Amino acid sequence: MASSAEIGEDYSKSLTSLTFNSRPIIQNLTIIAQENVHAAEYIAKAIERQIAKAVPSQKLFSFYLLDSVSKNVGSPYNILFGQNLFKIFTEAYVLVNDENRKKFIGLFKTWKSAVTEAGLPLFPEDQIGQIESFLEKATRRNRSAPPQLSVELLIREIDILCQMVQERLNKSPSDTKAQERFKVLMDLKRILTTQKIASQQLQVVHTQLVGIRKDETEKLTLLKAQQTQPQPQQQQPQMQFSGFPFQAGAPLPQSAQNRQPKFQPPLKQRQPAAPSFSTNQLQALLGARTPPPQVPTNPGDVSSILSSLSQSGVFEKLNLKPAPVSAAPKLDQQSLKNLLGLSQMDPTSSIALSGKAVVASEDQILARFDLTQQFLNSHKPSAEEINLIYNIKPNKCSNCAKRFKNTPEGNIKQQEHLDWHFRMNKRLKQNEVKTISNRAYYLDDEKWVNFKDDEILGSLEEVTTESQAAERDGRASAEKRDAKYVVLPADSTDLTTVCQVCKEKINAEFNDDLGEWIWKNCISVKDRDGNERNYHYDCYVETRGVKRERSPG
Amino acid sequence: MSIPGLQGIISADTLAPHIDTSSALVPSGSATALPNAKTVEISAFSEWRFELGSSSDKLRVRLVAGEAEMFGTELSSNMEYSFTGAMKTCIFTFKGCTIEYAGCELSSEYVSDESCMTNYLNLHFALERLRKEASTYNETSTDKRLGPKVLIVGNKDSGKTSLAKILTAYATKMDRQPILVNLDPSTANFSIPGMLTGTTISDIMNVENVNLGETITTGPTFYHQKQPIVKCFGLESFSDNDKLYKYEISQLGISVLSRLRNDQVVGESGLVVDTPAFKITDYELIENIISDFEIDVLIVIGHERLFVDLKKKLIKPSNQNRLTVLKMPKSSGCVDLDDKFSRDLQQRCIREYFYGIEKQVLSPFSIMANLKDLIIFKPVEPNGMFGSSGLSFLSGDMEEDEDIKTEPNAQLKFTEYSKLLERITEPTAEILSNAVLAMVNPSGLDLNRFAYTDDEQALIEDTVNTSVVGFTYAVSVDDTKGKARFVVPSPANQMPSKVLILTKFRYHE
Repeated sequence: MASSAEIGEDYSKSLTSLTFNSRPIIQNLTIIAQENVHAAEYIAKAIERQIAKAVPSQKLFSFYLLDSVSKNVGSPYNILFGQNLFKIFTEAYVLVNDENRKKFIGLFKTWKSAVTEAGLPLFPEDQIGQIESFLEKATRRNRSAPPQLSVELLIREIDILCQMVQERLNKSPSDTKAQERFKVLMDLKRILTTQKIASQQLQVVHTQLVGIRKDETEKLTLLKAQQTQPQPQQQQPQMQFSGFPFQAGAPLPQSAQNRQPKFQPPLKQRQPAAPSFSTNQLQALLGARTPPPQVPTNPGDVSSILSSLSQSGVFEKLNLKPAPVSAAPKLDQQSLKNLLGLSQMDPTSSIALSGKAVVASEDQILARFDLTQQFLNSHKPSAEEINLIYNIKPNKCSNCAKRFKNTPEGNIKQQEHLDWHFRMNKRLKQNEVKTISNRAYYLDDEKWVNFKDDEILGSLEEVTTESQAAERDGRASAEKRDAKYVVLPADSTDLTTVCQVCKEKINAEFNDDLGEWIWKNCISVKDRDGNERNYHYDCYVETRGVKRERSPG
Repeated sequence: MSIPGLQGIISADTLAPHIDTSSALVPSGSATALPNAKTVEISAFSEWRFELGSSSDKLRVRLVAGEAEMFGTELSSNMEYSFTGAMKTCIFTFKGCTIEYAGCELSSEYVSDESCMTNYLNLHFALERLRKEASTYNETSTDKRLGPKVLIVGNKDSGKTSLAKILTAYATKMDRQPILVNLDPSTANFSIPGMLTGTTISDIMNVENVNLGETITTGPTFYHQKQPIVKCFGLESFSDNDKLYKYEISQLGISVLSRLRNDQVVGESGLVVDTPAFKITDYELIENIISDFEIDVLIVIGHERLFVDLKKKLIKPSNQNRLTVLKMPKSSGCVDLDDKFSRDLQQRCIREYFYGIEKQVLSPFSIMANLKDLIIFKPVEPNGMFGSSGLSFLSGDMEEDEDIKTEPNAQLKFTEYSKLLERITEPTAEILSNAVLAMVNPSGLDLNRFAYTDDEQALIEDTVNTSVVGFTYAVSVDDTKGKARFVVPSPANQMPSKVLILTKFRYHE
């Protein structure tokens, strides 16, 4: 067997073929990396070296490989690259031309949202953050890019808004809506200062604030206008917008109008970049599948609109931001609470939003379903109901499509499940080469009645096989310990090995059934350098147990 | 021809001609596009029905976009699915999806928007509500309430098994662990045909496997394996020996209900019972099953007459609140399966029991055994002599069993058990060659008693009361030496059980 270092060298050689952007080559190299996970350290080094030494016009291709390996193989590659991703990225970035830089940025953008199978960020956040601020600076030199969102920025924004609301309150102290908004803003500020908020959530908050700011600006203008020109304001907007069904009736009450300054024509002129769709269009987009959004006079909450939007796929399809003009003025206690709830969850924003919206009412949804003939025949399941078997568990196992809830408990289950896949995949690979599998015997009635399927679901590593071994023991005097053996490597010249724990010599025996030389009661484990180490099975289990005790959790 | 067990271990390659190492054994997290693939767009609430015509057909399928499911089990977009051999199946989507397929010509394929899935989903949620109510009740109460126990009946090929799969798959999606019971001896669930089984479904099922998924093996698998309890009936149709059928059902019922009571997660999940095609004349059998499994929801698929008749007969003032009888529409996708198709499927289930599936090849062992050391029974096949008239025997209630055992008239007892199984005193090549036999779990048998007694009824009693430990088939029988070579699933020095039940099924290499 080639040593890890040799594999690294071979890999390094094959990397030189990456002189053009070739999907098959990258795929092939990814597979090799996957098959040689034990030599990951050397392979990762080889890729890093290639990035460093490739001519600038070809650096991108090696980066695509880095990307492919990190995303498709995942651990340990993403961890290895993650250690000095900033350095690798920036060193290459400064050397390449503008066209390539765009591609670098495109690639980087995918990293920001990429997660591993376990749902963790693909690369360490600090590295991503560093690259982000680097790119920000680098691109700002050329054109003024929007400033990077940060908690501080948002707080500053809130402070400004507070001042604006305060100013409004000074002018009309009886405005309860303004008071409420002031309170909400203060709450939001407190949350931002006391809690850790994921960047996606910051984006959501930011969108809200932008909307509020526009709203406040208008209101202030309006107030000033009212002061200078104290005539009733009703007529003008109503003439302009009589097409809106909900405004066609009687003149709007003053308070309601105050909250709807977005229909003021001057606003539209001032906002050339305003969202390209109106409330009406929004309603049309949502269509029959989701309930129509609350009309602005209703104190609906933002997240329900957000979630219905994301459920109906408007976000992705039209690439629209949530309409700040329609949503922002409604930032109230309720939506704040929703935001709060979201900030505790995984920031896969839109999915999390819809998931959250459903979780809250799972019991209520189920309570609609009667086990009666009439109901079963006539009921048409709504999207919300169907989501109970889909999006309520937004995290899908990348292997087998099993779904997990986005809760701490769900995440633990998913982690266990992925660990199980990992172990099985590892064993499956070994199986292709050597080991023999058999159908296990069925349990008898008593054992079956007492059997717990959690044994199969595998929070514990060896339960299944051990119970099987025990099963076999009872029947044919099968040798339990023989179940643990290591087949001598084909290139081995030495019939003995040494247990790495007790340092005792282990002699190989020939097993007739297997037709192989084996070390009995032995287990082979790869160490950090990818070298095979042999242990007595018992020694290994014992020492591993000790390690677990030392580091709880 | 390769004779299994000649070298102790069989070369995987000779036994599994379908191995294709290129198939996605270990999903890489990004299934690549299929070469020369055809694409199917399935709109929301529609299903794509497709058929593979011959046993050599192999279809590769990939979910390109959207969400899709097969009998309630969701498909992964990161994985390539392969379907091998003759089969008729479908992919359904609630939200719309794009499927890509390649590999072989389909003998039939079309997208239909006629689906009963909304009814089935309604049913699932209504059942889930009952599970939730059970869980809520159990949180505060010391007596444990069980989840819904559902029995599905209907005509042949009306989609009973599909509904059973869908209901269990959906329940599993909601973190339940329902028990799926199969009482149809012509099909196999986590076993071989001829068996009555109960299996806790605690994880995603394997949609590629014709047999729902894998039972436990000693090796690694891509999916979580399932652990069934298996009772031997051994014949193809329940009417071939309804006494034995009823007896084994009540035996299975005892174990399944004990499991429900013993395991809170499973208990609150309840069970789904799949059945062969019962008619209204089998009413008594249905009633037995209802009492054996404490059924509280009876679903009749696509058979108005049976639904009305059963409702009339079953809803009595005494159990009005206990049993809900509902009908469900039959899917237009149900196709009549001919005998050959069913037989091929049976053969395939037996082969996969011993040799595994493409993605997990198993290596059975062979053992030479002296036939005189073995006790071989076979199910009695009453050819009109006992007919279906003597139905009064054993209503399935264990209390009455006890009564029979303590019955002073031993002669009667003898007669009754002898209607279930009969011993094969002289097993010959003619009888045994290629026959599949169920091995009775030795833990339920007192072998000494077996070795030295002539009391055959006691032997039968023990045998029918014990579940199956595994299966074996005879590859060669030497009448002159009185020896036979058996293939057993796992390595052993001797036959895992000395007591065998000869089934009606034969397995040919």
